[in-house]
Amino acid sequence: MPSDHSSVPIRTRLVEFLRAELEKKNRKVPDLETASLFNSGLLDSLVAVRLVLFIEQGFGITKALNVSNLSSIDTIEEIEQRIKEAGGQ
Amino acid sequence: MVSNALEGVNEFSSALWQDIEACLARTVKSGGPRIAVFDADGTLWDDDAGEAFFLWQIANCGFQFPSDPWVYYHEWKKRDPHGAYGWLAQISKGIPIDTVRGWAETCFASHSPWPVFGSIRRLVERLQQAGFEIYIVTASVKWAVEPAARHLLGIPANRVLGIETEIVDGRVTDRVLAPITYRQGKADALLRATSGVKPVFAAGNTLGDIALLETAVDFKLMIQSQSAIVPAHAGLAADEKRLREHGRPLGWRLHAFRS
Repeated sequence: MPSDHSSVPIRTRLVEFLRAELEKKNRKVPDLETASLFNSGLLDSLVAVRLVLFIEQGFGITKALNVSNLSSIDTIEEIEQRIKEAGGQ
Repeated sequence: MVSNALEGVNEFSSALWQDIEACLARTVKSGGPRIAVFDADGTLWDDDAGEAFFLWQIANCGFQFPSDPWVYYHEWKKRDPHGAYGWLAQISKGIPIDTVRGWAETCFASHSPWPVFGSIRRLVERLQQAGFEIYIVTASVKWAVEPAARHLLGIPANRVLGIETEIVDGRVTDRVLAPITYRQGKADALLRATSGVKPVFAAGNTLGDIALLETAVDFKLMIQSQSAIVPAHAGLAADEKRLREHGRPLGWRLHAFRS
């Protein structure tokens, strides 16, 4: 859990989390920072639920994130933007 | 069974296994009923099967939802968890139950690996070897949990007790069946299914499982799936902490998959 290293940039923590999730699926994505995560089928809704939990716990967000449309959080940049909009740090 | 164990978490200690074996020996010696019960999400596996199925349905089923169904559900859950849990079953109103079960199978199959806790799977296998009837009682939609229960743990659908609605002419309705399997409803649902026979063993991970764990006559196992260092505001971690705060003074056993 990332709560003890909140000084680490959001993107770094996201990449770390997503790499770990991809490792569970035996997938290595060299261009992860620009990759399509959900639209490409790289990640699924089970990971999305874990991602939401990770974001809520790790970035101090108390309001439910809008993840109904996974296509709208398809890249790390989009997820990072969503976290910032929700006041995450 | 599919081999699909989660890696990178703390497994049961030998001391815990010894205590479980001692419980099994006592049960066999007593000749009493052999029933064990588990909560599902966060106890059997490291995820939420009901919410994953909900997200899958949002993406794949073409339902008419509020503009942001995920936020709608979570905000509702904060105010009224019973209602929100029921809604996740009600959204399939009018759909043949066989179709919904087929969706759940497809959803399960598309999620690989399913993050079942390895020690839990070994425990379930050990209990099955010892002749236990094993139940799952979950606040998730029953249909969402059935595939993982069957494929990963060999637990049939009739031993999965969860949120469901009345089925009329083979179709899902919006009439949620009582009891709602959350808090006291979990214990009520279990004891109705077992005709009042209490389980020997119960495991759960949040305060929503307290009543379920209290039904166990011998072994009450608290599961900690989330790290204890996450912030206090965090919903699941906070709910797990509340269970530990309740159970520790009562001598309930604890296993932390994450410290």
